[in-house]
Amino acid sequence: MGNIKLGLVTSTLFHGAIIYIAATGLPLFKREFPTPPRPVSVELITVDEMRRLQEEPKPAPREEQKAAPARKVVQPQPENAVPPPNVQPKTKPDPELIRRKILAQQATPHTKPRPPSNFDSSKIAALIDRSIKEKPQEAEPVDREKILEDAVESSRALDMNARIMTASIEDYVRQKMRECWSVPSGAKSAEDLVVVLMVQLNPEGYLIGPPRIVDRARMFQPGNEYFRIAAESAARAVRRCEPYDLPREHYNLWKELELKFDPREMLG
Amino acid sequence: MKLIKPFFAFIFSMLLVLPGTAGAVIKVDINQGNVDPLPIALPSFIAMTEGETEAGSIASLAVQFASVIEADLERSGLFAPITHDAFIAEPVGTDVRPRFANWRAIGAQAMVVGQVSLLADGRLSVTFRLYDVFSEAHMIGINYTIHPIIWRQGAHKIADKIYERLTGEKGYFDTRIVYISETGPKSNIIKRMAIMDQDGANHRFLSDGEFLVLTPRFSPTSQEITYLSYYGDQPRVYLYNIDTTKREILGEFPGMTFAPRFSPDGNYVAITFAEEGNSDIYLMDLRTRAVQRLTTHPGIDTSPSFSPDGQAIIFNSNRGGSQQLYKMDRDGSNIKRITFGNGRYATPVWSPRGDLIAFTKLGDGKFRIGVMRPDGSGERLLTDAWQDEGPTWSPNGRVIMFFRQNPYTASGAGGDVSIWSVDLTGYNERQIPTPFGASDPAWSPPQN
Repeated sequence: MGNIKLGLVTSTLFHGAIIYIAATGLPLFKREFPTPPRPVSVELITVDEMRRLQEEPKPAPREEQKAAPARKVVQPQPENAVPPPNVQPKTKPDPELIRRKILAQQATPHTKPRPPSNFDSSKIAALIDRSIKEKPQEAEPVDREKILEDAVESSRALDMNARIMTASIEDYVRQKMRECWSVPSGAKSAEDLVVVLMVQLNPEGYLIGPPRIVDRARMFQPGNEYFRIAAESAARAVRRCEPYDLPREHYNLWKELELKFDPREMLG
Repeated sequence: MKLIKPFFAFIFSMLLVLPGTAGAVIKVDINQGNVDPLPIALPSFIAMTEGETEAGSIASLAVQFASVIEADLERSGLFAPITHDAFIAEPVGTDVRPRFANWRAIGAQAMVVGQVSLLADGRLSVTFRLYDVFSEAHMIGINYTIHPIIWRQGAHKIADKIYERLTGEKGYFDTRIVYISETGPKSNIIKRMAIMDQDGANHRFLSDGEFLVLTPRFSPTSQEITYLSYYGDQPRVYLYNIDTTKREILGEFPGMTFAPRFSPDGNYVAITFAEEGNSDIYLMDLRTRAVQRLTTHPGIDTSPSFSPDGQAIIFNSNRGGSQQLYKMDRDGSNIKRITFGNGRYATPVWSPRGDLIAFTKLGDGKFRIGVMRPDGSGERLLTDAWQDEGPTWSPNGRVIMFFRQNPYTASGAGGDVSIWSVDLTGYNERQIPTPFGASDPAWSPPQN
């Protein structure tokens, strides 16, 4: 009898919970659809009103003064207001980068090449097959030198292939950005405009999550308005150029990219 | 067998390790983009209430707000508003996030949503929001309470905020232009001082043409101008408050004064005083009216213009044999010549952001507008017409306005004057609409 009662209570609670969830939905599954933040309020007055205010003993606060505190409330605060120490965009030329550039120039005269692979994967298969075949004859000596030579050659081919592919990917991304990046032209000193983004792509060439701005904290520091504008323009370019049509077989190479946007050459 | 296993393990580990680039993140240097104007969608604002005001119905104001903002942004040359015909859907209000896919589909990179309503006290409540269409981020949102009669000023203020948020520079749309309007036959041109918004709206005359007026210059800090006028035969510098219409003569000089220019703090005016054929530059404290002489050379020293920090003055002088630009400290010391090129230089004006000096260059039978660094290096000519002169900077130091005179024809026609603007990059040259001939423009600081 007691068991039945317990079962009834459990069942009632359980079903009740299901009905509740069905009616209200799980809060976790609710789709976030944020409403825009409250706008800053500003009052504009006519010249006559201004004169009247000036004649009064206590002048009303000016528009900018009024707007400033309100703006503080509305503007999204940076997650990390303290700047990370010594995080500066690279200015010295990276020897690896120069090497890649030279390689790209030599190896890829066109913009979107897919060079034929020198690497023959059947060679590895052959090696494996041979090892299986050779299994029963353990005593027979293995031509180690030959196998090592083949393996090194294959790896060299793979290495070269990867390098050529890397240069091709760089070229392709550069070409895409030429179309999609609206260069910000405001800043007095163009150094303020150099932005580095980290981008993650899925195998279809679409962004996984928003581009990450290196030195993001700087965006929200006062006096860095130009950097913020530059960072936003770079992020916009990356989104605008989706999807990236890159060879799926080399996804490993381009699943994450570091993009350095530097408009100094363009702005002279 | 025992040996083979580690051997292959070694081989495969080599295959993985050797291609060094495979594991590292590819770094791409991007140095090239495009400088096309940014596509922006500016649908008409939404009328949230009905009603009539002295400036028209709320429904018509809602449309006009977007039009004025759109025209401001388009004129800057940095934005390309998207035609409304392309819009897939209209926004419903500023409290609802737009469907960004609809705006991405038409190529917009930024978009503005706005609404207008009539308040019980007869004023307008105008709200706008700016969005980044690709990141779907809310970039800025402001609500203005405005008297309907200054609705255009409200629209310019919104355009300023959009411009500032997207370029990082202060906007310059809520500004005015004072200039000299020229009417009548060439033998008897009537010159009147006029003022208008930077887009040509709200045009009115400040003088009646009875006396000749020239070279109006705005105070950088208030709605006050200084200019040259001939009362009788004597040219004198005057001070005029646009809001109060109060006018006064500047200084009791025994001779001719001209080429006035305010200091950046608005407390001083540098002017040229000519006596017995010798022109020198003087500085007047507007609060005490005390006068200090800055140059003493027998050559012609004129057209002074302050650096934005007020510590240096650029001017032109023929002391070296031809008309060139010189720089000096604000007390008149440390005079240095900064131009040495071919041709002559006139009307130097220091940019409000300090990085450039605009000037008129005379040479090859032309007058052209150019810019150079304050040390005289990096000279670039921005225009190439027959006669362009009298540059004045937008308050953000991004745009230069000047006036252009067309050449005369053999029959004596031509010679018309008009006001033009050009971006400091030399692009986006445009004529500013004026009802009559127009010369000598002066750009105001942003209004309050």
